Parts: sequence; C-alpha cells; structure tokens
Amino acid sequence: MDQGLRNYLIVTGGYWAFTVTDGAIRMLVVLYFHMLGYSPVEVAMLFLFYEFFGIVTNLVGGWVHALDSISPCTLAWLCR
Amino acid sequence: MLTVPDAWLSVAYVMAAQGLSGIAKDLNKMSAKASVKAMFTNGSGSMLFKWVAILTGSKNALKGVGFFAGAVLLEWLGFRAALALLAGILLMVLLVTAVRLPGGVGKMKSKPKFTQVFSTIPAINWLSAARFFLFGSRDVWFVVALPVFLYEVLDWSFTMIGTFMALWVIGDGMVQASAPRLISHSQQGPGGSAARVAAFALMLFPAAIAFGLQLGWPADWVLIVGLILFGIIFALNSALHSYLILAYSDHDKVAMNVGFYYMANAGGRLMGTILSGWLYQTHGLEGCLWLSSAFVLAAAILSFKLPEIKSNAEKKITKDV
Repeated sequence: MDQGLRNYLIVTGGYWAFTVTDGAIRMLVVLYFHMLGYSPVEVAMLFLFYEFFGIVTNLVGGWVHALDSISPCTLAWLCR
Repeated sequence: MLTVPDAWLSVAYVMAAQGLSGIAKDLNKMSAKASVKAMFTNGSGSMLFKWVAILTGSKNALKGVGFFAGAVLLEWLGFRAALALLAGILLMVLLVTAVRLPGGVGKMKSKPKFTQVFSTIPAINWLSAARFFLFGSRDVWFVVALPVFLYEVLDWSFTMIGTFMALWVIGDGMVQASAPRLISHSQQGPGGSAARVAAFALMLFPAAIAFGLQLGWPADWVLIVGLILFGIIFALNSALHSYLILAYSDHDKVAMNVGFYYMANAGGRLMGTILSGWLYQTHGLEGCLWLSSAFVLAAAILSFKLPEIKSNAEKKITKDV
C-alpha cells in the first residue's frame, strides 16, 4: 500500500477511535456521577479541566506542534 | 484512569482525569489534521480538501456514536467495565500507532510564531467572540442540564438519553455539511448580515422551549421538537462562522487564524459547561434555556461588527469541528 495512504489510514483510525471513546466517556461520566448523587454543579466541575485544557491546548498546540512531530503528540493522547 | 474503586472517584480526581482527556482531545485533532496536510503536500490540492473533509466531517457522527455507545455500555456493563473496554480499545490503537507510524509524519516545514495565534484581523476577533457565545448557548443546556433532566424528570433510560443526544449531534453535523446548499449563495457568498439573521433566528428557539415548559406543555415533546429545530439553525450558524473565518482570513495564515478561532470556541464551551451545572441546580432547565437565548443574542449583537465579504468567494466552506 502507498506509504502516504497507509499513514493516513492509521492517523484517521486513531482519530476515529479516540473520538468515539471521548464521546462515550462524556456520557458515562454525566450519567454515572448523577446517579451516584453528585449535584449538577459537581458534575459540571468534572468537565472544568477538560474544557479548560482544551483552550490551553488549542492556544499552545500550534506552537508545540511546530517544534515536534506527530508521533509524540499522538502517543500523548493515547496515553491519557 | 477512571476504573478505580468508587471511593476514589472524588471530584478532584475525575477533574484531573478529564483534564488530561481535554489535552489529549485537542492534540489528537491537531495532529490528525496536520499529518493529513503533510501527507498530501506532494499531491494535488483537491485531494487534500477531500481527505481533510473526510477526516473532520466524520467527527460529529463519531461523537454521536460515542454518546450512544457510552450510554448503552453504562446500561449493559456498568461504569467500570465500560471504561475498561474503552481503555482496551485505545490501548490497541496506541500499539498500532506506535509500531506502524513513522516519527516524522506531520512535521511542519514553517514554524509559526506564538504571537501569530492571536489574530491581527479585527473581523476574526469579532467572529471569535460571537462564536464564544454561540457555543456557550449550546453547552449551557447540552452538557449537564439536558441529560440530567431527561434522566431525573422525564425518567428516560440511559440508552434513550444516549440515543437522543447522539442523534442531535449527528444531525447537527449533517446540517453543517449540507449548509452550503441550504444557505442561498449569491455571487458574493454569505457575509456578516447572513450571520446576524441566522443568530437572531436562533435566539427564538431556546426562549420558545423555555416558555413552552413554563406553560406546562408536555416536556418531552417540547424538548424533542424544540431542540431539533434549535439544532438545525445552530448548525447553520456554525457553518456560516466556518465559512466566514476562511473568507476573512489571510490566505497564507489560515491555519493559525483558525487556531485562535477554535480557542474561542473552546472558551464558549467551558463557560457553557460550568453554567449548565450551576443554572440547572439553581434555576432548572428553563434557566439554562433562557441563558442560552441571551448568549445567542450576544452573538447576534457581536455579529454587527462582521463586515460583508468583498472579494469573490471562491474559498471553500469547510466543515466545523
């Protein structure tokens, strides 16, 4: 298989798998912690850092990415 | 990280785990896009557009699948087993990526300066501000208030909640994808006025839903019909923003300008998320919906600063992510 296409499929597959699990975890956390009796404010707080670091990562990500290559980034998100 | 015993699941612990997830999500998104761009730099431009569109256009559908899967897994397997399964999937992907992907993929040729992340084009800053409130208007009811309301007030099962939220997200993505055909495009393409009209139209929906709930209409139908309509107009708003960002951008620096714009998007989500929990607790779902309406109004007012597009719009509308 063409090298570029193969890499594309690996990256895309990883991205898809991550996106599905990311959505699934969001549902799990909201519903489960509500069930455990956490208040809506506490449940919202569970996502505080998720959203906050989303901003930080977007801000510095372009800069970090320019210094480094794909694999460390991809490995970093998979190791979460 | 979340498969530990219940007693460990303190707010601080889960916040930290979710924080890492938040970092991971955006690194992943940026890496994927950059690597696709790098892979096709030697090929034709139209190929690149196609592959990037497939990569990013699939995002809403996959997120929707995730919502559904998460809710179903919670119902079938319980919290811990569901998370263990998800972790197993990610571990497999990690192994494949580590073994098969060469280290140099996605290395950028030019190194953008940090300061370029902040846009020097005023229209983009106004657009980002409008987008901040647009995304806040969704997440203020979507993140905590809606699922909790469906569960504790309407007594929906996890699977039903997951299905509704999945369909909402997938539908949102589909409307965005077809937005170019839905929005009437003259020679010029849509400009600031289109964004204002769309925002003022969107403002009516959360207010109407809240009003309907307060009148005591059947909550399930008011929410289902109302939120689907909100979703369609929301997707049009979002697609218009995605179009305008490219139209306003300096051609050579599209990537960096878009980076700033996504930061505003993430900021709106952060505010929406916090307020979703707090308002639901203090003012119920109606409170969240009224604030949603107010946020859209803010986006509409900010859109008065958005100019019309001068040059002929040959730029492609890309999918929002």
